[in-house]
Formats: sequence, structure tokens, C-alpha cells
Amino acid sequence: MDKNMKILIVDDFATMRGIIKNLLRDLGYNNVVEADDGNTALPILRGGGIQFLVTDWNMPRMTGLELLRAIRTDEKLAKLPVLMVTAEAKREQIVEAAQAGVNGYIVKPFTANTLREKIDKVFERIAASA
Amino acid sequence: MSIDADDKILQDFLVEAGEIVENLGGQLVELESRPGDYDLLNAVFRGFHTIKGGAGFLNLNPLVELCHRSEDVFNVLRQGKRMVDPSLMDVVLQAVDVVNAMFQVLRGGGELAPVDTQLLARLEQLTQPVECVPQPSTAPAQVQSPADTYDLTDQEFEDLLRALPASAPVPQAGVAESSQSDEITDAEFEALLDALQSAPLEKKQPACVPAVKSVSGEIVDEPPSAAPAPTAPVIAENTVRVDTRRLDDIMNMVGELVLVRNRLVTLKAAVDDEQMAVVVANIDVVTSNLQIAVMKTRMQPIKKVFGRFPRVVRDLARSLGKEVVLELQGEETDLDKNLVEALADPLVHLVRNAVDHGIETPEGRLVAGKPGAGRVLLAAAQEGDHIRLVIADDGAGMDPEILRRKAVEKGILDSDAAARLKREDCYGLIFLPGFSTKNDISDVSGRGVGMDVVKTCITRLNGTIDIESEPGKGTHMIIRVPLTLAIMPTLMVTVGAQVFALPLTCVAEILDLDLKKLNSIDGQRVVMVRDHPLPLIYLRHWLSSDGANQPWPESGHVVIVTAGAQRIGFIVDSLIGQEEVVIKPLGALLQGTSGLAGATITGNGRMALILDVPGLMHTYGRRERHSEVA
Repeated sequence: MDKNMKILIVDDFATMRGIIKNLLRDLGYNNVVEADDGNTALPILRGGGIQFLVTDWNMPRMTGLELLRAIRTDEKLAKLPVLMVTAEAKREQIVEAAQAGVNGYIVKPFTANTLREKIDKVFERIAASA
Repeated sequence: MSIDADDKILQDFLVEAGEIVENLGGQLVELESRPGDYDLLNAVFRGFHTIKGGAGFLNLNPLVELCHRSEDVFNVLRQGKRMVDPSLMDVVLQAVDVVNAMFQVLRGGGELAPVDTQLLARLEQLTQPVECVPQPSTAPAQVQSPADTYDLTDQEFEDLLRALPASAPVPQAGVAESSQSDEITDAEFEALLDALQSAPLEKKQPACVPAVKSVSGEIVDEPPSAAPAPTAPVIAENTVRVDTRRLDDIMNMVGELVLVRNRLVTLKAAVDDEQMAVVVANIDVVTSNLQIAVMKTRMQPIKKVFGRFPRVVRDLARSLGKEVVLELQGEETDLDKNLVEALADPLVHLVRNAVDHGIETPEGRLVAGKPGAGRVLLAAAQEGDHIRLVIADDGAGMDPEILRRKAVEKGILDSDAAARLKREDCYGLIFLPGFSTKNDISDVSGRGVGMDVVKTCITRLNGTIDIESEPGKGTHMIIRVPLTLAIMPTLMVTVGAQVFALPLTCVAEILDLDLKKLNSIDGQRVVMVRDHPLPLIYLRHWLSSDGANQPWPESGHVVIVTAGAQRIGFIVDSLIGQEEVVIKPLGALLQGTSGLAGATITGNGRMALILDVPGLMHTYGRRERHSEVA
């Protein structure tokens, strides 16, 4: 896994961004940027350079799912790996996210280990389909 | 995560989630008047949801549990399966109170106790839909109580992924097995992804959703490029959180800079050098701008304090059996963070007073020909370098006669002095220690300890408080406080050989008077100014070591100061002018000297003491009375 890949964390709750950032740092990922909702994330993503997106689901204004859909319809971002952070693994929700093109989901709260497993799985799948 | 990082995150969480909890209080009260507002219900839902999410990572399980149940209640509400009613609000508000109490415990470094099971049970009851609208497609899952649901396992998720493209028409084994639950497993998810991503390879997959096609289509058609696109200008995060102690340091240093600037400006006048003058003028402007800029970084909207009032008023009105509508104006007005905090207690007290003493009972109001519901207005606005706060009610108002009588009864004034008090000055009486107009003391606000404390608080902030009242119509309390606490405009005067700074907020006007015609009332020297007697004090008597024996001057500069409802003339030896000073606290030995607010360095490098006018009057005014009586 490329520990230098540039990761964007999107969450409206700054504390949560801090938590995820710390967990990523524990896993050796230090190249992290943050955005506080879908609307601010999109320009950053379109600016290029982001290699992995970790986004919250439940956000005001633009939800994680809406952000995901916007990303998948954007030519340049269509294959950006996206990990969705959710509060619960409701089937309906996750299926919706999968159909919208999510690469993985992770249920809050999680440990660094769970996060590592999820990230590994996302990139294994991408490597396999490449 | 390391312990340090955990602690920092806990602190961040307390600040950020604390704001959410504060907002929740206001949103819930608002909800009572707009029970069906979806956006509001959703906002409350998300509030609990967000706190729960953060608390989960911090292992604050009681908090997680409570927020989880509350969130469930609002999920049911926002789906329209239950309506907001007062009994529901009582339970939810109680939950918010408990959340608040938990934050207090956490701020104090304590451990959370488990949540009262009764409260949890009541919240749980509220998640039961009241009128269940038949919704065939989703009903089974939604009727399930939270206890029946379980999280999807990884395996389920994988299966789900595998099953997905054909999900509607062809139920696959994996899905069928786990479809009992409404939560997905990891396995199902992986399966779902497998299916989604392999599907477009076969190019023709009618069941596939367009979005999916484009995703996987891209992955297949183009080689994966690890290299990021050339970085276009990225919009960076445009806010940072800064420890306020750092801002205090910066403010302090800017204060020092202002002092040096003042010195330079004074020196410039003595040095006849054009180039120097230009540079100094430049520094002058830059310093002023810097000062304003730093001040702005410390500004917070007063909303932070106002936000708690809807709840305060609601609870109080309920317990007193009154109907009160609270109106907030100017919530976005910015002022210094320290001021916002310092104003919280006095404002709470005044608003409680307005509801308790000002607004009458609904019956009483109807008899008086007013609408049954009273109105309390809380407004903030910036006025030049001041903030003006108004707490107004349309209640009973105050009767000057009753106030006069009370003052005499309590032995605060004799009947002559009371009768001489002007109408406005009567209202000032309520700020005196030990003055309470209610005979029966309620446990709400009238312990007779409040108003003088409010007054002291406001004065300490270099602010003033005025009262306008009309019996039967209501009362207006008007508070004026400076935008910042660190820098203060003053009037520099000399008394004897020493320089003193009088806060400009206290100075009403300056007169040159012929002091040969003095009158004496109640043993106090007075001079008539525009037909009103103005008590005079020769400051030298109070402030110079050799002052006591100095004769009264024959003419002099009189600085009229206001302290509360009182106006007093200070005779000074000379006037220097206005100067903006940076307040430096007095050294440990002098700390707490009454009548002195601090010290500063003047433009010409001298030390000046800053007078605390109310404190001065408090200490010396009494002594003066005694000595003259004796």
C-alpha cells in the first residue's frame, strides 16, 4: 500500500475528521487533507491529486451519497476509490451506496485495525480488477 | 491512538459537540412552535447522530446510548410516524439536560455514570410509531424495534455485492439467507461489488444502474493510473482552530505595540524630521489596523449566549404558569470572546428577572388589557466601538414611588433624599446591595443578591447599564459594553503631580466651572449644572498623599462622570487629553486596591493609574460621608 497516497477526509464534524486522521496516521498515512462537506470536497477533488476518499454519509447540504454520485459522473474522478463511513450497516443504505459505486464502507466507531482491513480490501479489489 | 492524541480529541469533541448540544436546546424549543418542520427535525436528528458518532470513538458509552435512543426518536419523527407533543418534548429536553450534564462531567475530567434506565425506556417508547401509515415496501423493516436489527456481516456484504446487479429479479442464495435482517454483512457487500463490477464487462446488462456502468466502465476501459493529475490550485481548508491563550498572547503583544506606537507619536512631535514623521504616521496606521485585525480574531457571535435563552424562558414560564414569547435580535453581532462569556451570567439573570418580575400572569395581563402572552425581547447591536444589548419586556414596569418607599424602608435613603431622586435615579436603586422589590422572595430570581451582582459584572467590563421603565407598559434594560477588554479609550488628567486615566465610558462631559459658588446638600458639596445639583469631589482629596488638607480650588476643570444612575463631578488639576491605553494589571502587592482598575504607560513614557470610577465612589464616597458627618 502506498503510504504516501493523498487522502481526502470529508466530514462536517471536525472532531471526527481529527479521529480518522489520527487513525490513518497510526497506519502510516500522513498525506491527508480535509473538507467539511460534499460542496467543499468537490472542488478539492476536481483540483486533482486525491488518491483515496474517506467520506461520512450523513452530512448537511450535500450527503456522502450525493458526493459519491457526483464523483462517479465526473470523468476524472469516476474511478477514485471511496470508503464510506456510516453509523450503521443498514442493508438498504449500503446497497444504495454500492450501486452508486462505493468501494467500501466502515461502521463507526472503528479501530485502526478495522480501517486497515477496509483499506486493504478496497485496494485489493481495485488491483484485481485492473 | 496515543493517550495525548486521545485527550486532544476529547477536548476537541467537548468544544465542537458542546456547540451542537447548545444548539439542540434552541432547536428543540423552536420545534414546539413548528412541530412539523422537517428540516428542523432533521437538524436535531443529525445533532444527536453526530454526537453519538464522536462519542463512540471515545468510548463514552452512556453518551452513545442516550444519543442513539434520542436519534431514534427523531428518526421516527422526521419520517412522520409520530408527532411532536409536549410530553415528548419533556422527555427529549430531559435527555438533552442529561447530555449537558455528561459534558460537564467530562469537562471536569470525570467518568460517565450509566444513563437512568427509566429515561432510556421512555425514549424507547417514543420510538414506537403512533399512527402507522401503511408503507408496504418498507414497513416490515421500519416497524422492527432497534433491538431486532443487527449489523451486516462482511460475508453478507460480499454476498450482497455479488447479488446486486440482478437484485430485483433474481434473488440469490446468499441474499435470501440473510435477507431477514435489514443490515448488510461485509461478505454480502463484497459479493455485491463483485457483481456490480463484473456486470458491465459483459457490456449488456439491462438491470444495471447507469451510475454503476460508468464507474466500472472507466475502470475497465482505462489503465489504472496511479500518478495524480497535475495539481490544480486546491482549495485549502479556510478555518483553523486556535487555542485562545495564543490569541491572548497576541493581543497582549499588540497591546505593547500600541504603547510603543503612542510613545513614538509623542516623540515625533518633539523631533522635527519629515522622514521620521512619515514613518511614524505609517506605523501608526499599521498598528491601528493590526489592533483591529487581532481584535476580530477574538470575536464571537453573541448567539453563543443568546442560544440558551429560548430554553431558559420556556422552562421558567412553564414553572411560573406564564406565557412568554421570546424574541431575539442581532444574534450575529460579534464581540470579544471574553465578553461573550462574561455577559452570560448577567444576561441570564436579567432575562429571568424580566420573566419572573416583569411579565404578569396571563389573567393579570388580560385584566390590564394586554394580550395573555407576554413578550421579552433580547437584542444586540454594534454602536461604534460599543455593543448595545437590550432586554425589554412588556410587563408590569416599575413604579418609582414604590422604589422610593422601599429605599426608605430598608434604611438606604432618608425620606428627603428619596423624594429628591429623579425618576431615572429611582430605577438605579434596584442595583444597590440588599434592595429587592418583592416582599415574597421567589426561588427564581428574587433573592435580592442578583441585581447588584449584575451591576458589578457589567461595570467590571467597563460597561454601563441603564433602565427605562413605565408602570403598566414594561421595562427596558440597556447594557453598553466595549467591543474589547484589553484596550480602553481614556481621558488623561493630572491630580497633584500624578497622571490618572479615567475610562471614557464613564466620562459624560467636561466643564470649566467657577467654584466659588458652591452649595452644600446633605453635607455634600454641589454645584448647580443646568438646574440640577451635581455633587462635586476634589480628586486630590482622595488620591494624593498630601491631599486631605488641600483647600478647594477657586476654579477648575470638572469632569462629570456617571457611575450607574449617579452623576458626579470630579475636580482635577489639569486635563491632558484623550488616549487609548492598554490595561496592565497592577502588581501582586497592589492587586485589589479599590478604586484602581490597573495601570498603563502613557505616550510620554510615564506611568498612569487607571481609575475604576464605580469602585472609587464605593470606597471613598462612603468615607467622605462619614468624615463630613463627624
